[in-house]
Amino acid sequence: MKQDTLDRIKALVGTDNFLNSPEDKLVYSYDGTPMLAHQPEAIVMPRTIDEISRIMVMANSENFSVVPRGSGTGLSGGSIPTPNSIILLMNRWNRILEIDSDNLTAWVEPGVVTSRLHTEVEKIGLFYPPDPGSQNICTMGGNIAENAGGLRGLKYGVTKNYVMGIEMVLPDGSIVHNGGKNVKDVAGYNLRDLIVGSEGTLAVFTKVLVKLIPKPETSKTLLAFFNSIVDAAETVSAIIANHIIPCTVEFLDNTTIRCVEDFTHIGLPVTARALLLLEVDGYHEVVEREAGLIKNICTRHRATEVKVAVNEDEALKLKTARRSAFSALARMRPTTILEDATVPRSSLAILVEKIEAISKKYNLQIGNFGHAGDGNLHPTCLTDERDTEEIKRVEKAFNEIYDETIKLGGTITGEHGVGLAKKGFLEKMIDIPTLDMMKKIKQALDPNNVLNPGKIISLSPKCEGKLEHTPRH
Amino acid sequence: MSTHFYDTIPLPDYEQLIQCMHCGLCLPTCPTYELTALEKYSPRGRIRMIKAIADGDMTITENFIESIGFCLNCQACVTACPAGVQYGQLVEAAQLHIEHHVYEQGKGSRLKRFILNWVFADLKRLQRMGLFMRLYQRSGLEKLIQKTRLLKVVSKKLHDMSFMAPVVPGRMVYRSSNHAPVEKRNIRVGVLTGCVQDVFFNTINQDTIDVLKINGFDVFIPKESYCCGSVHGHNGNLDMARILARKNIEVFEKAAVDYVVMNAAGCGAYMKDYVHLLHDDPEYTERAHSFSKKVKDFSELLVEQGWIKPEGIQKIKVTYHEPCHLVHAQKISQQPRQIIQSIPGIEFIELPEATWCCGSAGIYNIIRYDDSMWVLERKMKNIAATGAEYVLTGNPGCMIQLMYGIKKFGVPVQVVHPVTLLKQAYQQQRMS
Repeated sequence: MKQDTLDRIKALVGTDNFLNSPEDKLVYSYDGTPMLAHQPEAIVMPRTIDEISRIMVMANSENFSVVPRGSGTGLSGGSIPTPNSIILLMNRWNRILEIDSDNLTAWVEPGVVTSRLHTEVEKIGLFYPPDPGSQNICTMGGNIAENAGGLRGLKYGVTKNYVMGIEMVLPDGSIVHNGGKNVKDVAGYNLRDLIVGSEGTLAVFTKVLVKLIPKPETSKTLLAFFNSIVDAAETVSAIIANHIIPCTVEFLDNTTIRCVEDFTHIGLPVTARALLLLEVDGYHEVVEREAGLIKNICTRHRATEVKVAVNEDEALKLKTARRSAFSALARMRPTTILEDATVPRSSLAILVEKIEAISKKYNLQIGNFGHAGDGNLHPTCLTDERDTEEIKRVEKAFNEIYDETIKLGGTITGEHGVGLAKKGFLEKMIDIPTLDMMKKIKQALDPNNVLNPGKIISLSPKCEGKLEHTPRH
Repeated sequence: MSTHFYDTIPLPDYEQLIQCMHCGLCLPTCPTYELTALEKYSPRGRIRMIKAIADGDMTITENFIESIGFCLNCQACVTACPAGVQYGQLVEAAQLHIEHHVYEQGKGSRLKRFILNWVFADLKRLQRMGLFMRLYQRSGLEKLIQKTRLLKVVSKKLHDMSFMAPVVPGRMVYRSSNHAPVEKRNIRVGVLTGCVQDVFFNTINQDTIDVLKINGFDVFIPKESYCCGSVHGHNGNLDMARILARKNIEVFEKAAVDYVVMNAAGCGAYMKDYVHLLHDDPEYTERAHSFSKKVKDFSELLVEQGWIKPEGIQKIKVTYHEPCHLVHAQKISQQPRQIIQSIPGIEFIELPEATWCCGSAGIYNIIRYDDSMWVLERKMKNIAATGAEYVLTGNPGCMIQLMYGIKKFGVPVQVVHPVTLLKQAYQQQRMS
């Protein structure tokens, strides 16, 4: 980028809101994605929507890219800088502007940390269900960009189901509004749904209106062990067939169980092939009834043990196994690659067994855990990025895992997004006309390809060579 | 005692550096990140910079020095980290390398060097300083200087900081206690009377001895008291830290104790890590290992071995501030609460952000006063919100800082060590 351009941006936002020291560029070169990084030209913290708009106009005329960033904890490379880019850091936009308990809505700025929204609305008996694993640090802007999910997805849905309104800046600098507090509103194209999950490639969010629901009265937690994955999967199906939608149904495979037991020593049966953590929530009477039914269903489907928490303390103990799954796995080897393969619930057991077989085939350690209720698994490979030979096997293994996932009618990403990390797989899953429609939308909104270019889809034609792979810096 | 700074500074452990998967879960627990919302002031950012220097991609720069200097080393990030990165070791190694770098360049904080080289050089000097402070306080000179705001002539900050010094008590010889044990155990414990604790809070040491005696332990009080070495070790003088470590190991080995009981979180944490400090010394590796295993915080020991539940009612409203070196460095969190809540009559209120640093952080509150005050202000707001009459905490650094916070931010609360409260409850029982 030209020095003159950088100077103009600095003058626009103020010296205090412009960073480009070597140290700053280094620490904004990564997000939560393993092995990918690239340094930005500068990090810019805009103070107003007008400043964002002017930056986008400049990006078009001066030919640089803009990469929006919240906390930088995404897992597919969405906030990793692209070549010749500035980071547009939005994490200081952290005000909860309004909670409307009559209309059950909240206006938030994109830098609001998700768990802070949870805390604030729960104080007045309301509830914002989406609960991604990184909720204590991830931001609402990032959640909307990635259409974040979480453990409560099965019963309550994902971020998309809660976005009612948006204010945003388009790649050409235009300021756009869509939606509002109306429960029903079909005026014009549904732009707010278009941008949810757009991974920062179609707009920069400046304000979001989210839907809230009443907070469930109480909840109950159960833990069940099985000697076969099929039994566990059939249990989940049977629960749904009985018209019970638990708040969460989490699954841990044997590799994960053994790692968790090594780490926490809470007495998990290390020969169990599957563990299910279930939670039901709602009115007390409903919770009691559903918990009882679930216990019976587990037992009928050959659960070797079913534990039901009788109070908060016990519930916390039972949840430890699931909560520490990621920690336990991450401590095994230096590099932890957490992936995201989702299939329709009915195919879950098949995918789990396929992943086991693939990990054996490539002699890798893969712990599998995830949201059994909605088919969203997180096969997690424990490796060492310095071992280039092993990394090659890891790539091959995940290629196969995604092939199998797609064959089962699944998706290459349930929650984490495509970003940079999964671009190669998108064409395996989506046919050309559909991919073309996505490209047309991107091109219409961002003809100069300035906003987070090269994420999700590449606009450069195939004949120009392979898609960029951003090397580790 | 000769003091060779910067000999054998350990390099940051590369295995630790690479264990970081930059997931960012440490960010919301980091006080300096919460203040600035800037990645370079987060554990994740600091680790990345340390790794860049270790890889040879970056050198020690002003920005790097500022980022590491700003870090409190509270290790809240260690508690939060899913991958088990021992950030404390990394930042301490970085601090040492920075010290060395700055020293070689002839720069560096003269104040810091003075405090380490002169004040903490040996315990006798610290005691002498304590005596001087006591005279300064009792003669009325301190009150005069504070009232006339004389120090403002030098700097407002110096005037403000002058209120930080706690009231220095008179020297005392620790009694092996005239409290008869309820039931004798066959366990011999040594008590580290320390340096700061010994000079400023010697009554806490006596309370510790009394509580242990009441609970049936055979208590050994060393005649010679040594600093645990943490102030030296954390600030560039590893040689001195090792000398002190060996001395402490010898003293308690000779005394043949089963446990070494601590009432200061920072010291307890440092002594539990003597194996790491002395890993290059083959004569002491095994000895450091058995020594560190014996080191227990008083609350840790009482919960492990069982303690006599006091009957003396203390009808007070209390809250508990968790010293960083107890909750994060030693993973001791439930035990002090159990001890406190075993006292009848106590109304215990959980402190919001109880695990957040108070800003004392060794000598951070002196060399980085402004940053320390921001952190302290947040802590004092949280304490005030509980409405508690007493805030309990088991570390002298935290106690000094909170006592200062009471003055500076006008919070009507008193600071007490949990062992003092327990001793009071036992005492009341005896009297009634």
